[in-house]
Amino acid sequence: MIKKISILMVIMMMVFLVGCVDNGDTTTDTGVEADTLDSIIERGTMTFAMTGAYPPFNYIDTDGELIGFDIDIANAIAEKLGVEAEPVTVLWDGIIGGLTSERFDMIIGSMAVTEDRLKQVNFTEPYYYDGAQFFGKADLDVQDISEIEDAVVGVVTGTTFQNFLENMDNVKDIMQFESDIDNMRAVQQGRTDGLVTGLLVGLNGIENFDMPLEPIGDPLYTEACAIAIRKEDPKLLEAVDNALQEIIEDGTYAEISEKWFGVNILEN
Amino acid sequence: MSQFLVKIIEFINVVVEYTPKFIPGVIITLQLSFFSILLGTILGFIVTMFKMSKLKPLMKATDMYVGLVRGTPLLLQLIFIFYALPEIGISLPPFSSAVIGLAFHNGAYISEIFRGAIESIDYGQREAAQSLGMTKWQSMKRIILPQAFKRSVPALGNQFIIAVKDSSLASVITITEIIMLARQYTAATFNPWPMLFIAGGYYLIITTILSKGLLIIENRLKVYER
Repeated sequence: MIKKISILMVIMMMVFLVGCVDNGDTTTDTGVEADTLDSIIERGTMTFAMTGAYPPFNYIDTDGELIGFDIDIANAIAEKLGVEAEPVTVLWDGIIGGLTSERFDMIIGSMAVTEDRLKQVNFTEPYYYDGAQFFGKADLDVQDISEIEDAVVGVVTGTTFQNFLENMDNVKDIMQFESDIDNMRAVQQGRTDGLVTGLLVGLNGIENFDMPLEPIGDPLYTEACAIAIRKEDPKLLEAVDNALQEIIEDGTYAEISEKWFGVNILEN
Repeated sequence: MSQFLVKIIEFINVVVEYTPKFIPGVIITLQLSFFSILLGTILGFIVTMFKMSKLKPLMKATDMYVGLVRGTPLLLQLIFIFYALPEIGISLPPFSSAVIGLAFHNGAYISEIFRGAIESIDYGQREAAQSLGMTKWQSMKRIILPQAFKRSVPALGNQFIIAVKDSSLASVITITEIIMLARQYTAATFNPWPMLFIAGGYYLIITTILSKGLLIIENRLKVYER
């Protein structure tokens, strides 16, 4: 039996070692590296990824339409580039893998810039700032997350919020969800004492979805959210950065921000 | 070529580093599998007995149970128990939700396995038992069921292995078993290959041991046959 297991494991490992093969850079006949920007312009569309489960930044309304701040920003940037924006919804914990394996051109899904992520991908300038906030059940009656003994807190897998909670001693159980919508509903159903997510997302949940939550304590930390682009696409990075700069300067950004938040969230 | 070798060594390093980190998830997978198989088998047996009891209401009820549970995806059933039931007041903790959902699901399939095995026993056995003066239930208990059980072991083994793999769906209702850990560590290290290899490896080990165990049981039961 040990022999059988070992043989199967070796066969399986050979399959998985395929991942160690270096991906050749795409080159054109002239030997110049092809930047995704060129193929975007050729196609006339740019694909961008988000979860569609992060209201009000990207979510699906009752008509099944994908809407949100991120979506509007993506459309505005695509317009400046002269192409159409095509959204691709994915699960958060696989989103960077999806970008590096070229399933889509960029991530416009409220992704925070972190050192670890910077090792994998490049980021544009931030397109907004948010804070990580602990939201508790409305009747918890504490001033800060550290006051809750044996806390059960919900997060979405692969978020910076999850990393932060793992360092907190009084958090007994971290429940992992695939989307913040499930996360908020779990608090509503009494399964968790609260959740950690973006301040703006939680506030939106309280206001528009009637979630019985309350922001408790100060924001745990602030983060800058930017657009993630593959390391092999420096031209695309520059183009998107320029487009972003343009929409900030010509007022399109302010308009979008006002629409969703009533304030300009780049100036948080 | 050396690039490839460097990456292989990196891969092996990550695998060696993370394999122990998966153990909490392996324990949960084993617990989920064990309870869902145990409860599912008991449930399946009860359901089969109901079905063979020839009492119309029991037979109808079990038909509906089997039809419903076999006819809808396990994922749907788990999501229903975890997300929908609380809204009508039945809020179960995640582990219980998973065990109940899995046990219910396995029970339906196992009941059909038992029924097939029982019905495959030659009618002559039943006749002989009756001619010896046994009641229906005595003949069931002493003659039919022992033989039927032997017949059902291969198919049951199949179902048990499926049950182990189905436990991975519990990851959708926040249970941190093997697959959830694989996704979590993939998100943290941005490298899916070693994590999925480790996850696959653990499942392989569990199911191979299970298969071997079932083979031993099967052979033990066959001792009386030539």
